[in-house]
Amino acid sequence: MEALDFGKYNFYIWASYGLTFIILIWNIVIPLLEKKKLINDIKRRNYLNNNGSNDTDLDNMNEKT
Amino acid sequence: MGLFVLLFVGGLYSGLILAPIDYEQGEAYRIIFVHVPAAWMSLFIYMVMAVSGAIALIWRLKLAEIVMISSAPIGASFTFLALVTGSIWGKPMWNTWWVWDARLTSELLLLFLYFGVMALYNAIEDRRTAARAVAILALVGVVNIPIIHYSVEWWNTLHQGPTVTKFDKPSIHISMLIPLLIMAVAFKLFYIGSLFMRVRTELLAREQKSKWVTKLLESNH
Repeated sequence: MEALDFGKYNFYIWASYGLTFIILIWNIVIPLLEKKKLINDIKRRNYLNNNGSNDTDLDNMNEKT
Repeated sequence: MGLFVLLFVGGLYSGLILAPIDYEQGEAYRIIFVHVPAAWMSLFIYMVMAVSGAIALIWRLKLAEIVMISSAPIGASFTFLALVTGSIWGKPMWNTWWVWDARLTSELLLLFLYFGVMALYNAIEDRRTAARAVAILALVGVVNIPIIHYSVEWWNTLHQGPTVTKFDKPSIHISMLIPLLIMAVAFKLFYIGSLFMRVRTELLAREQKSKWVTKLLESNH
């Protein structure tokens, strides 16, 4: 692991590469979460529509699901 | 995405281990292998956004609107990465985290343009109206791109001059240039992969009331 020792610049280099990792992972995780949320929203609305009851509010829905 | 991982690991290996130490900056210059590709991406993604914005305005193409708006958060994240790694690089080299010089300031402005695009899109309820407004903003902001690129030549700045994109021979040594280019290609592939993820979601959001979406989701669970 000596090759990965950058002497007095260790902190600066690892901070940069660490942040790069975080940014890359963020760019994968956030789209995945948004997709999941959207699909759940659509499914919930479809469920409401199919069951036709206009008086079902979202609070009741949350208890059911 | 598989190719991205391969190139990214290869870029890391050749950048951190194979590339020699810089005679002037020592080990610290190795930040270049993430800093410069991130900065290139920040400009490239903005151009993609602006061009698809123009296409969206002229031909009213829905897919162009979606590519434009899906690019914004990715571009913003790369701009942020370029700024912060630059700052981390600046501390040991210039002995300061930040200076208000032309390159740094114009890149910061780019970050705000990305934020503006995202905020504007979210502020307008109707997606198509929002996309048109965003396209105009993105196109106006294009003026900043050449300013960023040429800032190190037009003004006397602390930021070092271009070492790769000069018309004559690049002044960077080949053993450092190769990992840099590998990383640049890896970042570009990553952008495409991440963009597709976002495009699919945005497309689904716009088509959520259509029958095929309902059918697809019903058959899926």
